[in-house]
Amino acid sequence: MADTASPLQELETHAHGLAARMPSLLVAARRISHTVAHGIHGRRRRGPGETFWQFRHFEDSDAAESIDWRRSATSDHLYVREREWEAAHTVWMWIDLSASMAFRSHLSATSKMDRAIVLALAMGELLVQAGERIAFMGGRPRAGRSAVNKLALSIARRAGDPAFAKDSLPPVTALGQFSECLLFSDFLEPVEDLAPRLEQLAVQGVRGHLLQILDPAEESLPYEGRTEFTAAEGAEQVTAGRAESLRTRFHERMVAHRHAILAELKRLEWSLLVHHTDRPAEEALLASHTRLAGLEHDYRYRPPAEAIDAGLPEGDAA
Amino acid sequence: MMSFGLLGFLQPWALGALIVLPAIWWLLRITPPRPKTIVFPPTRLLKGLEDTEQTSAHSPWWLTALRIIMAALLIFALAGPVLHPDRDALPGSGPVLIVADNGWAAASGWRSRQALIDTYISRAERDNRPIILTGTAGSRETSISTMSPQEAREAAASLQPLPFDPDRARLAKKLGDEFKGQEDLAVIWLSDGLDYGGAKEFSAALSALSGARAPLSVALPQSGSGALGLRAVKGEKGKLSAQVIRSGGNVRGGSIQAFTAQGEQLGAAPFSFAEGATAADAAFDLPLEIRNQAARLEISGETSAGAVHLLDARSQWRRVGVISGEARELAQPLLSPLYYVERALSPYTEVEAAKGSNIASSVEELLQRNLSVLILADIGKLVPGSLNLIESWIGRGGTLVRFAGPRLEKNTDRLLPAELRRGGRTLGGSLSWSTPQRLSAFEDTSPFFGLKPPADVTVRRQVLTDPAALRQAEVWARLKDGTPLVSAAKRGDGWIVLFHITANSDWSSLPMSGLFVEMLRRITERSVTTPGDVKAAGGTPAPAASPAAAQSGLLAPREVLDGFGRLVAPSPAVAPIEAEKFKDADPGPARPPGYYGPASSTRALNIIRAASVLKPLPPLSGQNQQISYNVLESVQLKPMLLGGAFLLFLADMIVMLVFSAGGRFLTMVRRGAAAAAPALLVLAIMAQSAGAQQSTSAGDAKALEAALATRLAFVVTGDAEIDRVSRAGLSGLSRVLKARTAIEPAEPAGINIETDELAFYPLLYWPVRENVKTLPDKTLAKIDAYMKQGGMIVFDTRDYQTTLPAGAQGPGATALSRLIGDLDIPPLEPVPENHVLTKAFYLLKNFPGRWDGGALWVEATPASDADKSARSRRTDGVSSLLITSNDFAAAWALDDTNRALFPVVPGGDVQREMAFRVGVNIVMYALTGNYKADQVHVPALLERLGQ
Repeated sequence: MADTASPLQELETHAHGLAARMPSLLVAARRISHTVAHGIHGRRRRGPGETFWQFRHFEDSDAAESIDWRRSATSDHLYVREREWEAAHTVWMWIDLSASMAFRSHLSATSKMDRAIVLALAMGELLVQAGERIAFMGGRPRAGRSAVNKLALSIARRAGDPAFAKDSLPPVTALGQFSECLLFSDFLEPVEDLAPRLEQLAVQGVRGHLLQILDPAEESLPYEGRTEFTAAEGAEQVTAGRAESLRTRFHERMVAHRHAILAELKRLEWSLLVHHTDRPAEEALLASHTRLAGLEHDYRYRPPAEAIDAGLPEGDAA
Repeated sequence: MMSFGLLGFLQPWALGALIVLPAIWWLLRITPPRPKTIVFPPTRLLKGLEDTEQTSAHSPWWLTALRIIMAALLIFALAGPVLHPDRDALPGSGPVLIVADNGWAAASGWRSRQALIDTYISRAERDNRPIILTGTAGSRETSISTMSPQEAREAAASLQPLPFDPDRARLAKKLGDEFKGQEDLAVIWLSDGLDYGGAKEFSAALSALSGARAPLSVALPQSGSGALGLRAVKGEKGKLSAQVIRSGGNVRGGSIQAFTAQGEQLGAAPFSFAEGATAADAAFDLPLEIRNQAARLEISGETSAGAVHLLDARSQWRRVGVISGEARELAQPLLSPLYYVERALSPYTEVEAAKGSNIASSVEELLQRNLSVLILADIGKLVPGSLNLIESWIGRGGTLVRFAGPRLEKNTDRLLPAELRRGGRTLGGSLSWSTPQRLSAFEDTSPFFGLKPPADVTVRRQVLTDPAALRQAEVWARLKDGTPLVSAAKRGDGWIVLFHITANSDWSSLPMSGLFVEMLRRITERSVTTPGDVKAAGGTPAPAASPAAAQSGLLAPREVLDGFGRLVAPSPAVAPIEAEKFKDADPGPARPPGYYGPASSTRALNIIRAASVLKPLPPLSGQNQQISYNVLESVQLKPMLLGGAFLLFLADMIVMLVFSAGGRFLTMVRRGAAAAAPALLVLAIMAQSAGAQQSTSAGDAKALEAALATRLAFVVTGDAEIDRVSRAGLSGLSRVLKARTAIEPAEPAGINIETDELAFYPLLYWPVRENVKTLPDKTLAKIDAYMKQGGMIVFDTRDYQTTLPAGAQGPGATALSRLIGDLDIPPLEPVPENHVLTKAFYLLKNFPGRWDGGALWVEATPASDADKSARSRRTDGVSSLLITSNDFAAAWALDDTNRALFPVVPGGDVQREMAFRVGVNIVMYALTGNYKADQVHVPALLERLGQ
């Protein structure tokens, strides 16, 4: 753990920096007119909260204290002021810490895992700032400033744990209803393996967001000549006489794989974001931010600018 | 040593390694090149894609084959292969006798002969047998002795071809004496394939030496590559021709080259032998002066003395002028004074006969043609002009030959060797005691020395020299009674020769004899080829220049040919040749071919004479075995095989680099292509410039088009609208001209004033753009020249009415002054009354175009003749430029249906009609000049004619 701590600290610092830039990024992007109201989410229903929701007629079952006298005084009826049910969300995060995430091709400056950790920490930072509770999947949700540190610690602990590191599928843990989960992985496992896990998470009433982090090389297969490809995990080996001849068909398969994931997610009403490690992390952060806030359905939402669009290839949908 | 056919192996056991080749093949096949390994997370997705490519994962078959070949080459190289191993054994058991023909005919293939000698020496060395090496040609002193291989090699190296025929009979005798009774020699005769007589006997003698058991080995040149001989012949009209002879063989060709004495090549002539032909002719096509410089002919590629023919003064070709005092009698050619002279000279000189009967002009004409000899037949007295001319020509080295005759008898001038006595003498007439005289033998001081006067030549009449004056002259030929028949005297560098008889058969029978031909030939031969450069010609007509030699009659060698046909200094052993025997001298050890005699009149001795014939060796009797000169030398193949293996190794390396670099290699290639892009650009530019050159020829086409028909032309301004109007306007005017006048112009031409040639266009319409730029000086000069040479330019500023007040200087005028301000423009004035323009075709008062009112400016008519500028005089008073502001072209512009394109202002058909008339008048003015102006004189002229 000691040896993972210091690089992790760097990543954390990076994530802090990223998160700190976020508001200005939002302003610069000029695509959301107001900062995302995170944390105290209106549930669009009455319940315990501070924001006025509606007046309604007094019913017998209501407590007398609940009567809003000022409103009632203006008419002959008694009114009850109802507030919107507001509750802090729990956002579960999971990062694929398997060997495949350590891949970095010559086209990219950072490995997938680093990018995933940076994004997760930055996301956590933002969420915590907004008052949400965050946790690594399988951990305890926390709020407050220390939550991000705790998140980093659990990442470090799990990265050091070989048992955990082997698993490139999200674990099935008990998550609270109405919580959200953010899954950072390359999602290169067969959909047949992935789908049951997601299903199991989804049946808990969790809304999920998948962030597929890919190296550009994994998209374009920029190799030529006689090449032996070895899977990062597992013993799969492919020797290509001319790697360049595989390029088109590989790309087709990649797209097909992504579409399969998408189809699954569509069924679960989850979302998928694709991020390439040669793109800036801010892009992914901003996009997943928006996703998490559900702002893409907002009438004020505008489709991403071109620069951001480039980071979200055709697989991007929800 | 093991050998298979052409191949032998020094280390045959190394071939055993070939067994491992299949193993290498197997190893190479199953071990594909090591791929680069990449940890690639989505490998799962790649699974199954690679199936189609799996085979290529093995090294490709050709790469394997390449490596197998490489290995095979290495193995073969180690086995030490030898091509054409020498495996022949020598017959007999005694010494090895190698007899090599080393006459001139052996020279051209000397290298292969030496190689063969070397081969036999090696074989003798292998068998430990002594060697006797001897050549058939050579001096008598050559000793015949057995030699060790080393000595034999030295002897072989010093054996050289000699520039004469081999003397086989002598050698046969010598060998017979030396090896009497010995019958165990291995005899090898390296023959040159020619029979010089007695070849059969020679081979019989050699066969006898080799004994009954072993055959005589005879090396023969390949059919078609035998020796070639060259001789020069005089072709018709003095052309330098050569004949190549050989003993027979296949079709063969080549070329003969002619060289000067300094070795400069003058020309080449091809020759070709038909199958079996023994002679082939070749002719040089050279002008006389150059032809006479030829000193040496060579068959190119043949390095033998027989393939070189030396030329001397006798083969030079001289130009002889002949003039007769009598008009030529074509009806009776045999009586013509020059008939025999021309017949005698024409085989070896170029005879120039006088064209007309005017002797003075004939002399002048002929002497301009670089004559060597001028023959005057029966011309008594020359006019002083001709006399001086001839005299100075003689002073420069010319040879004047005069024949006597009735006129000369009566009347002489000073151009004679010695003064003549008045009246000739007649021998053997009916009133004479004497009989016709014969010629006495020529004295040795005479250039005719060596010729034999035939007994039947008689002289009936001759002119006589004053005996007192004869001392100044030389007598070259005498009659029996001692009276001179041919006298000569040296004047300056030249000679005057007088035949005391006529040139025809009137006075003697000499002109009909062969002697006459020879005498004239000697005279022309000793003449200077080109009088005026005696030194360059090299041959001064001076037999007295080396009196000793002349007296002794010996011609000393100057330069001789060696066996390879190179001119070298003669060795002391070379003896001089007696002059009178020179003609029949055969080259031999004591007199190799070459130049003999004094520098002034060298004679050439050649191997191939006019009668030489090359005979092939007859079928040889006795036991013999023919061998070829083409002994294939043993070639060690090891370095070649190793080199090949190395090349394959390099190729393999490159292939591996390409394989392993993979994409990077392709990127490199792509980068290379990117680097090549500028080069391609340069190429493209060059191609474009080539296109520009093509457009030059397009310019020529344009010029051609312009020259073939009269057409109006306008200057292309670059403004498409203006140019369109100009073209339409001139086109419309052309139509009007065609309909109304005799002028039928072709379609108008647009002219680029800077690049196009203007000379073709009589009239240039130049609409002036307001924003026109100043012209470059070159263009201005061109326009100036055009105007001064009679061209007319109509400048149209087209700006009338665009200025207020009308007539003020408009923008067009400013532009015009910018355009032609630098030109040499004469004073201008508006068209005055009675100007030719007002009446060139139509009578006009004003000159409207699209606008009506602007003045038409022309060159001011000079007030008086004195004021007339040079220009107006040159151009016949026609103004070279007209300037208007009325926009003519717009008024003339018609569309296809002859409707006007632009309205005229103020308007009306009358104005347009007038505009057309203006155009017609301008064109008429440009084409006919001031012709109409002369009409004013018609009444005066008529009056003067009295009508």
